[in-house]
Amino acid sequence: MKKSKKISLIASILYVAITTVLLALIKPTLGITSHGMPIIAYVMAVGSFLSPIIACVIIPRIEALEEKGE
Amino acid sequence: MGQIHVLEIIEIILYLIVCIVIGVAYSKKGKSSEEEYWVAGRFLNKTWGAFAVYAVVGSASTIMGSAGLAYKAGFPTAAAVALGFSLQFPLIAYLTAGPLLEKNICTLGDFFNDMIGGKHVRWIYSILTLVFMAAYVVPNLKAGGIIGQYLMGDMYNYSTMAVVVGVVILLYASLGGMWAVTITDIIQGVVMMAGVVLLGLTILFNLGDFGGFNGLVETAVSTKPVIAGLGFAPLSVIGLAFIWALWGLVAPMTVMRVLTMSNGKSARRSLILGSVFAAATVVIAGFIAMTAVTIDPQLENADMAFIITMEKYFPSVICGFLIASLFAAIMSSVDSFLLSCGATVARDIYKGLINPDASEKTVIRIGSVSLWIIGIITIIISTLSLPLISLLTGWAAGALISAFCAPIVIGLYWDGISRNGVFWSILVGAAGYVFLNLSKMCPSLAEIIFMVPISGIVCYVVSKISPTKEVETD
Repeated sequence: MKKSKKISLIASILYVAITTVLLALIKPTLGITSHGMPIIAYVMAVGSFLSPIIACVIIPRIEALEEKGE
Repeated sequence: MGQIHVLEIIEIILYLIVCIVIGVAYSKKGKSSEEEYWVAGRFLNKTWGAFAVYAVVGSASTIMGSAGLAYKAGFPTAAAVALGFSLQFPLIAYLTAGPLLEKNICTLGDFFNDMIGGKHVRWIYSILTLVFMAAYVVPNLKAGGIIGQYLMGDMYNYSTMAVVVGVVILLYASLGGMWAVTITDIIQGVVMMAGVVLLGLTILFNLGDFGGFNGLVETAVSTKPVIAGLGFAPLSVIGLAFIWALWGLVAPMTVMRVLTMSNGKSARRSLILGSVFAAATVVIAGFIAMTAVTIDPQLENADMAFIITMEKYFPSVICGFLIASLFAAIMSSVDSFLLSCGATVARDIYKGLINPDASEKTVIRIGSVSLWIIGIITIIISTLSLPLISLLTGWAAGALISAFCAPIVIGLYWDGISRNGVFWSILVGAAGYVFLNLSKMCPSLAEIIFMVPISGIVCYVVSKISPTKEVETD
């Protein structure tokens, strides 16, 4: 398997794993803020903006490898 | 409610006229060749592509549906959907965009044909896609109906307006093909984003400062405690997030939109920008839902949360603009889906399986006719009494993911995949999904958590038992 494809696969698996962990933490009782909202809801909202940013870092690397034919 | 919203109606009619004019204007260009008709000559660059991608995914379920979902099932549930959306585009960018563009293909049906082959695979793909895509159109038309009912001050029920919206979408989608749909999608993407951000900012400015924001959350939580919790079983919420994360890998409309990009690099950049737009929309919709709770905690139809908030904060002129943005969301999703249905019937079933020698003109004509037939059927279904928008879209999307996600990803990365492996993987994924859903053996929306891995295992095992080379000699 090409190196770029390997990175693609690993990054995707990591994404899904992180989502699973975040989602598994959903409990209304977990870390309630002073105004009654679970902290995990905020974490997920922030997480939803982080994943595309991570993608911005990884994708150019994949493209560079593809251009080299690796 | 109770009064007819004349100004808003005029604004929407003007908007719809603009859409139809675009459809007519691009009809000649769209019909010049099959590639122009289905993938708009692959002209999109990064920025416009992002708005087009966002408009496709930013359906009624993203804006009205997410606000309704947060209102009924809590902000954490909406946050889970936002997380799913944010994963969706990077996953497409990593896993499918590049290989699909390299193959220079127009529809997912072509993908199954080029990568896999075999009539049985193509038949099962085409039929399941048609059924589940049609199911996905219904909740969007329901949203159109709800807005229509609001506009007409309850004078007409939502069924009537669902019919009106459906016919307009059919008109311009069948006239111009992907060119008309893509151009109007870009406009709709901009209008939707502006609409949601405008309402979010207005709520924030009205609160004054961060203390005001805390006050809003506290009031919402004390008035309706579920807004801070989970209204569904945790497994359903996890399933919902995975549905939206994996949706882009199988959604024929998203794949077709990826194929309108000029190259793989533009596609990836557009997808990332689109994911930020979509996640932001869902998060803002969650806060809009909290505001709706403070306005009316006893809404009979939770999907109205966005509209009642908008009505409180804006004068009629801006309400009309925002309703146009909702219409935009509905239309952009429905038109893309109907066009995908037309492509499935014309290219995958008619040209691919029945008459391979059919001329381009015949294929386009059959695509237009089937688009109308499928459109009319979905309009009729959407006039019935239906559950929450976001649940309907979740069910339809879950069915497509269970059937196609595993074979597509495995097919792109494993040369050992066989036709029989793909066929049984699709069949087991779809049948298992329907069985789990109807038997209630697992919480609703959580079916894909089980069915995607099972479908993948079936694909691998059957491919090993019945390898590609032996099958190809059939």
